Amino acid sequence: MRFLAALLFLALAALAFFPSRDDKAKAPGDGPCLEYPSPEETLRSPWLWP
Amino acid sequence: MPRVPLSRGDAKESLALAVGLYLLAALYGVWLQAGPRVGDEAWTWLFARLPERGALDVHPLLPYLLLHPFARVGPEAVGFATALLAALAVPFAALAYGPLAGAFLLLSPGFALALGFSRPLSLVLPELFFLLYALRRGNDGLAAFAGSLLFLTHFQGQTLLLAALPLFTAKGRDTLLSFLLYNPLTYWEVLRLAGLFLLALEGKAGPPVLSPEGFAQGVLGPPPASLLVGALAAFGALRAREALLAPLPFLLLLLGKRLALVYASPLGALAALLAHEGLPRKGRTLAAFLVLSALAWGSLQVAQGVRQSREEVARLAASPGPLLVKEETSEPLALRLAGYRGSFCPPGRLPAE
Repeated sequence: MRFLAALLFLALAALAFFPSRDDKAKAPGDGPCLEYPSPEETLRSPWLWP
Repeated sequence: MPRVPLSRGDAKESLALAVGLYLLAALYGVWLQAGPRVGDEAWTWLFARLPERGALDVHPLLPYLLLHPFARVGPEAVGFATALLAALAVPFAALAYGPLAGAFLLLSPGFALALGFSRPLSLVLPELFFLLYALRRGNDGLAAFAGSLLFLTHFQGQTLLLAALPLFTAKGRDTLLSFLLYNPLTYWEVLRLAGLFLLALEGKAGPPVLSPEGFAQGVLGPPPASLLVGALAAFGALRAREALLAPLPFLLLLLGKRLALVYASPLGALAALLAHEGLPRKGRTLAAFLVLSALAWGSLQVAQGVRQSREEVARLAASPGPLLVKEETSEPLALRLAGYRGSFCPPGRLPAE
């Protein structure tokens, strides 16, 4: 179990180098709702739960 | 686990340091929570305000009952109460493993995630470190109490408790069983778990939420600092008994297809603790400084994201008129939006007060 935990943290350390898929999400306000952003657009932000 | 003997002077000093660290953590949490509710925080407030609806949520009922008095005050009060409760993880870590371990936890991105978002998952952190404190002190009763809280708070708490069972003494496990058997919430929780299991069998468990990269950054912070934290956490995992807890929740999240930034707080907090346990004896001060800097960098990234999202919601709330809600907007999303302050959708879409 210890080795599994150690491997897990090493794997996560490597995984953290990949760009987060959240970053690729459309930023709030982009797209067709520029002047009147819909809450759904906002909720696609990585910090707002989808 | 052996008791850690303390002289009276040492105990007073440790307690003072723990209180100081708690105040810092609480201030950090209050700052992160100041502002409107974002995302699932609207659910937390809604279900804490109406526990009879919370009883039918996918999350256990206990957090909603605990937060109910604050929900009657308002959504922000729920956020502040969650942050003040989550901040208790730091003094428990400091009392169990020393002030430096408390500082590691305080500055970790996982802790910032728990403080920054008011969700039932946030309450897993203080309960986890309460359990580790009790196990460290060899107090079976306290460990059983903390374990029962973990079981009744969140799915991740339940898996952490499962992983922690080997750390209990036989007497501690018996006491835990008694605490659970004499608590009516346990039976409600078992029914809820059975219902969720049936839903999962029918394929109605909800769409997968998978962002392993975001999860990794939530646990260890952004690269390249994540390498240092991850390496020391791995080293700590080879030395510390608490490493037993790490893999199980992660694997179960993966199997449950729920692997994203918002779920990273308990494993991130454990990573910070294990990084502390993995500090080398030679060059310990320099290593501690580097890891604290790396953790703080990750924590600041989380804090920045949290603050930006609250400002964005505040900006939307200040917009004139109701925002557009598309026809296909689902009821859960409409409910979340209704949890925000401000008029985001026509009154007909708001839940009944």
